[in-house]
Amino acid sequence: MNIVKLAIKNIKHQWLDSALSILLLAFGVGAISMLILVEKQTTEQFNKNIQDIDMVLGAKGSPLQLILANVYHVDAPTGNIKVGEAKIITQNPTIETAIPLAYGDNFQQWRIVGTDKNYALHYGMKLQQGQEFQSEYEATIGAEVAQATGLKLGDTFLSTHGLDQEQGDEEHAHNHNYTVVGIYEKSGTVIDKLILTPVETIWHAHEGEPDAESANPEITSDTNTAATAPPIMKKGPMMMLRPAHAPKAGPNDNKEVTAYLLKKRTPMAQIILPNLIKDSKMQLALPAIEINRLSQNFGIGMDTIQAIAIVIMGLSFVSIFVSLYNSLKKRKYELALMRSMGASKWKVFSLIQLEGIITTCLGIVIGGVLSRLGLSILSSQLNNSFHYQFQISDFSLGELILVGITIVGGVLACAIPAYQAYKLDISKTLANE
Amino acid sequence: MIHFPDFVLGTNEHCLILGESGCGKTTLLHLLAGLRTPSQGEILYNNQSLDPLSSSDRDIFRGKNMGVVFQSSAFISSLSVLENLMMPLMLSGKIQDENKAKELLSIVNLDHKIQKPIGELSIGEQQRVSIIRSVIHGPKWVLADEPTSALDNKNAESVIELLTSITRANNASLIVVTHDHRWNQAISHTIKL
Repeated sequence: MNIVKLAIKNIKHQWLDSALSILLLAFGVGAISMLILVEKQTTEQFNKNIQDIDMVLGAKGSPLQLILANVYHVDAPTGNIKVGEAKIITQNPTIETAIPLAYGDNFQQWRIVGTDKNYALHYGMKLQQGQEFQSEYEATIGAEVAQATGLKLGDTFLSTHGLDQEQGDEEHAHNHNYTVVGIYEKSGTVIDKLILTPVETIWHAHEGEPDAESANPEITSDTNTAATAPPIMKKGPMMMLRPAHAPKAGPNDNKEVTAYLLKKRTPMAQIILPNLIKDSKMQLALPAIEINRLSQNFGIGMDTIQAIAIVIMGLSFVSIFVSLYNSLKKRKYELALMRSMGASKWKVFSLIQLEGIITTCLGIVIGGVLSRLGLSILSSQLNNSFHYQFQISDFSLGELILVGITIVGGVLACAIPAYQAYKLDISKTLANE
Repeated sequence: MIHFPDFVLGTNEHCLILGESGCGKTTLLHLLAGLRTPSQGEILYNNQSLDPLSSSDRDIFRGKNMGVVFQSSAFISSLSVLENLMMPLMLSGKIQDENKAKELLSIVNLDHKIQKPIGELSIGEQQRVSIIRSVIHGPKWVLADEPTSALDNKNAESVIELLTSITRANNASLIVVTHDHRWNQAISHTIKL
């Protein structure tokens, strides 16, 4: 027998009160811990995928949608833009790199993205097997795609039109076979979830389909008379923003892409470029600003849940206090008995504190399990919808702080009952029984 | 203010303090156990007074040198018979010898109930366990407060016999404060309050 064993026995003996306190605390800790992990991992994912992408050029629509669709691949694209029209931006001297993205097909719900080699280079992708795509209908696939679909080097597959068509949708399948020529190592970036192919593959696969203008007749622009011509520049002070050289016409000017991921050469790009396309059917969206806006909106919901969780945690501390306080009334005689057997005041104080701390620790452990369970359910839903997952085994500094705060809360909640036990008048208590 | 007569109790001696309800028997026992301090006078244990000791040192002294038996069966309800018997050993920092507990319980035919929750024992059984608990850590003094008041004649006889014999066997002095005259024949050294 020792004081820890005695504290555990006492907790078990009053299991109903203890269970209520532990459950309340577990729900509070679990909810806050889950929010901490969701926020941490979402921010990490956002930052990892946003790396060095300063702007995204795409069809007009919701700028947030443009970012979500083209940087994170979790939303439908806003539409397509002509390569020729986009040159006013992509060939602008203020732009260092412009990575084209063209997509609209999938294989077993994994997006097939037409692009160039800069896309994989941008994310520092390394090949696990094979090589980068070289020619049309060659595909280099992300690690998660390879794992989920079972595709191996040399395998061929047919794409399905659309971004979320079910497997085996024969009606919308394209006729050309893709060949897997490479598999990337897992990187934790969006490319893990993509099938990359040359942009020409997408153009070829979609030949004969209506272009962006006819597909979106409601969108009009000043440039629809000449696809390759840059938008007319306004006179006045804006004239100085005109590029030094007009973009050169090319053979693919009439082709379409979904978006360009842009890296700027100078901060001036953010000021100059939006004005160049303000009368076109294109838009430039800034990932950092859009994601910040999303985080703020998302944050309101998170703050509400967090506030509820904090209230639950507060209630659990009250429950621990009430439980110990009530048990003290019942156990006053037992504590006096312990004192009569030689237990010091500090020993009974420690016993009550220990009971509170063990209850708190149990709440923290069960809360941790609940948070992982919640995260696992959330992860599974997110995976089904967007192929994104949360790391269940993750642990953050925020959680460590939460554990510390909770233990301090538990200690404070049982401080008054412990002090009452410390101040107990043994003789009076034993005489009154 | 309650006045108590002077008395001296030798090693291994037994003393009965008889008095009616409200005369201060329990107060006297609590003074003897060091659970409260006298406003006047002095109690010496082997010529040592507890008064100058700190509260914590008094607790240590009591834990090592005294065993107390209460009127009602006082136990820690969350523990088993064995665990309750281990408490004085734990609190006095002595080796928690389970075999000794078994051996002592076998004297009162309760060794088969050693793992039972204490609440499952009858009042008579509990009082016998409480007597075992008061001597298990080898105290010099055993103090008993109305140990037989709640018991019928048969159980009272058994407790009187047990308490007197077990304290003798363990070389402990015994002080019983009670209004129960069934003790008269067991202890000759009587002080009336």
